[in-house]
Amino acid sequence: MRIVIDMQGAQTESRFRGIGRYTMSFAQAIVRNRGTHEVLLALNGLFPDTIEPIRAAFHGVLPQENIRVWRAAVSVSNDASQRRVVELIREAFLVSLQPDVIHVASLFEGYLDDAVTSIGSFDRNIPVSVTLYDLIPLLNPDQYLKGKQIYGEFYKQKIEHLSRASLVLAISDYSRQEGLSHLNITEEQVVTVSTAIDGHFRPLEPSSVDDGTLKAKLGIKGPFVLYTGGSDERKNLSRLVQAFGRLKTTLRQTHQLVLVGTIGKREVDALSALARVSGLSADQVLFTGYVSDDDMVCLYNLCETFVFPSWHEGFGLPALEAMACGAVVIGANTTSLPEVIGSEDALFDPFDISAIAANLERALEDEGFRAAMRAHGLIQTKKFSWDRTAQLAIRAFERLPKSQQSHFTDPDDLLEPLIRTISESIGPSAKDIELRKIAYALDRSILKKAPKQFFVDISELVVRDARTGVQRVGRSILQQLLLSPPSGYVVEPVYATTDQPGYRYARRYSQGLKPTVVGAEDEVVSMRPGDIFLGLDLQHHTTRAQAKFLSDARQDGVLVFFVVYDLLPIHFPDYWPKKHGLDQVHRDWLYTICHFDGVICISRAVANELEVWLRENSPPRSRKLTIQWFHLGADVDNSIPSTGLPVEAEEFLNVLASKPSFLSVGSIEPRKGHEQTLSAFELLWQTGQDINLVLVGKQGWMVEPLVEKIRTHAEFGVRLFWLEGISDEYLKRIYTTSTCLIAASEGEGFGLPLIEAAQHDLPIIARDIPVFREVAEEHAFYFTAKQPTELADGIQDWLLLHARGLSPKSGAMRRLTWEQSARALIEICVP
Amino acid sequence: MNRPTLRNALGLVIRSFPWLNQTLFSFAVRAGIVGSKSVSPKGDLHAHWEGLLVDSAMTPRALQIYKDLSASLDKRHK
Repeated sequence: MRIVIDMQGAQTESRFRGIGRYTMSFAQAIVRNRGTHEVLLALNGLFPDTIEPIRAAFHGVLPQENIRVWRAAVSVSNDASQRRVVELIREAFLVSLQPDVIHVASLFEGYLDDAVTSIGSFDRNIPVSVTLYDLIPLLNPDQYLKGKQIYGEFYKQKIEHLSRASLVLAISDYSRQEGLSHLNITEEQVVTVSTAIDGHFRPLEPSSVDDGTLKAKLGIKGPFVLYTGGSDERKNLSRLVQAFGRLKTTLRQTHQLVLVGTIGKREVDALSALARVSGLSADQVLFTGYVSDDDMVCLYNLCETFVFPSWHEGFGLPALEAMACGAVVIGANTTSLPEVIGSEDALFDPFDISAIAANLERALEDEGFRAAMRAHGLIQTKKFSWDRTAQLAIRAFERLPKSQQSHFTDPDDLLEPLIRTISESIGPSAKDIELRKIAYALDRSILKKAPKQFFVDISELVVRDARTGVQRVGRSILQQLLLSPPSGYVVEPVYATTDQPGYRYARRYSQGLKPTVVGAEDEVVSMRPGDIFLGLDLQHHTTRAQAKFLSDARQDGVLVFFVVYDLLPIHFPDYWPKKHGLDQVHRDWLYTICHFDGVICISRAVANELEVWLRENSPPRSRKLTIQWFHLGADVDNSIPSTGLPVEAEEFLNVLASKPSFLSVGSIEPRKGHEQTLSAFELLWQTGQDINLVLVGKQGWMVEPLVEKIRTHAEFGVRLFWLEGISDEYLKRIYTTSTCLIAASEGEGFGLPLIEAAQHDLPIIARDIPVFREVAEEHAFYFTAKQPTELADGIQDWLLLHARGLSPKSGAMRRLTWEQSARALIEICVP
Repeated sequence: MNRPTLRNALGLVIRSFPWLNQTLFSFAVRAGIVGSKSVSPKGDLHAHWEGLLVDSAMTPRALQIYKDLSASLDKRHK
């Protein structure tokens, strides 16, 4: 059975009240007790800030793709026509999930906000179940509906919708009876599932109750009688205050009446005036306002007696909370409270002030009664548990007749009747933009059946291709993902720009990589729950421009990951031109991507650096960011290698082979250590070492003096060589012919040249930095050099070791193929 | 008055005096009473959604739904 729970009760302002807590706890208990049933949660996209906290609350207990968001694209709070359209969209969305039952945890939502909770506006086949808390406004119209025409209409409509429910889950036997008496439903249609309280309502050790501080903060001076809840008429606070005034003097003078909760100024003034008339001094009745849950637990534990005089409740949760904390609890003998409190002795007539006072005196003075009530309360609370509530609800769902939904086997089948019904609901003067909004909402809400997609962001490759190492990685990984997609997913290369929201399928680009890719149009992507987005390419500004789009996709249940290549611009800001402000750009980009599901670094060293950076810079999050790492592949043949040798290649390779040749691979940039390396070689040449230094890499930035020095060097073209923009084929030959790789960079994300050297059994001299240690382990000769002389000494030491055959061998270094690298990436991303 | 209460009160005023809608909403956003990401009473989209409703930014399916809806509306009101 597939159970869909409408969670709007946990999204509106109700989320700050009991109904919000009920909705969350009920849904969590249903998920815990679902057994073989499938549970989906339906969220309203018009409350975007509430989606992530709800996702976080179900993290690890329910697949994120089971949390579905419907989109309305328009506010509905003040427009009946728009509300009607959104009702249709929501109901069609729920039908598209193909549920066996839909449960609406809070039907009476949407009076002043964008919640929409209709029943039977579009579909009347699928059984709808509703939680019934109470019918207080219906049964007390003078207090709740009189003079409130708009609210009255709203309430009446909700009652009509409620009457269309197939099943009503009452939170108490009393509310069940109310439903039977006042709604057009049968005995079989209404089931008491009760309610429960969370585990943190419990007796505390005296040492852990924050007595003095909390009391002082709230103005409580000594023993006190406690009430918490609302202040509307049925709560009966005026009789409570008067009853407190009738307590015998010794009790009245030694106790305070503490009223906890948000009570309006007008009510406070009225109750204060009543207290004065009842002979109470100003501080004998205390209004604390709202207190936190933790403080509430302390107050329940500290109070002499908890009193709940309300004459109409659907359940009366505060009474149960107080009993669970070991408080002496007394309350009204009306509506649901007798079944909650469960002891005749603790009940009084809420309309009789003397009876309230008498019961209160007994609860404060009679030690035998107090002990009995405390013991009784702890036993009574055990009758209520969320698991029991969920089990009763699921049993009731199971008994529902099977829905007749066979004519909607494909969600797309819903569109035609839905469009027809919507066009009946909107006038001929509907603006074009309104139709577009509706179309957008339908496309996002009624999802067509399709395989899951694994999006690979290759924006830089498609739009510009800077041809850096990042793009080389991107091409290699993408090719492997296209060849061997993750099981159950279709790999879709995508790209975006900074000037238009959303990503596009990179179909035209992909055709070059994989001719079987069909459809040459770069259409706007449709992201669906369960899809995965991998930010493989590095385009700072594009990612930031698309952050909102990706955030919406994540709200919809798309997992969003980014690959982080390094934190170099942050750690070495002086090595990049100041005018570009790359350190700040990189920082902003990192901050942006750390809002999503996970970051995958290209080495453990980078992951460690990121974790350190996040200690100071992490954005606020509901769910923990996963930081993982993988290693890059190094099989050049599988990275779409470039080919071609220059005419002078063989002659040059002979020069390299004629004497020890040291190879440095990487673009000429300040952090790469070329300057120090060249100075060290100058020292070695001066001491008579006949060795070559070969630099392979393009000219980068801020190296003009160095480049000038190289080009005008006396050894340039003799024992000093610089090859720019050579093919992978040529590089491979140079690796084979050289004697040793020098990796002098001060900072790297990975260190691909080390792996490439190892593939050719080329020995390695590497600077002692964490990422080189991680990649090369014991297979390289390490140096720490602040000055060229130290590096020159290191090279000489290595030459001596090498001559004796004792230099570290690189051939056994661990390395991955691009296929293995892509597989590791998939294992991290795919749940 | 706490934030939720003030927000509800504003909502009530907005419903009662539609001509005040946008002015009040703008004030409420500036005052931090409602989030800047909230949908305005006029039914405006979030700013970033505006760009999503032009032909070139809509998915082919959304565009088709828009065309079907327009056609259905024309047919009904002809």
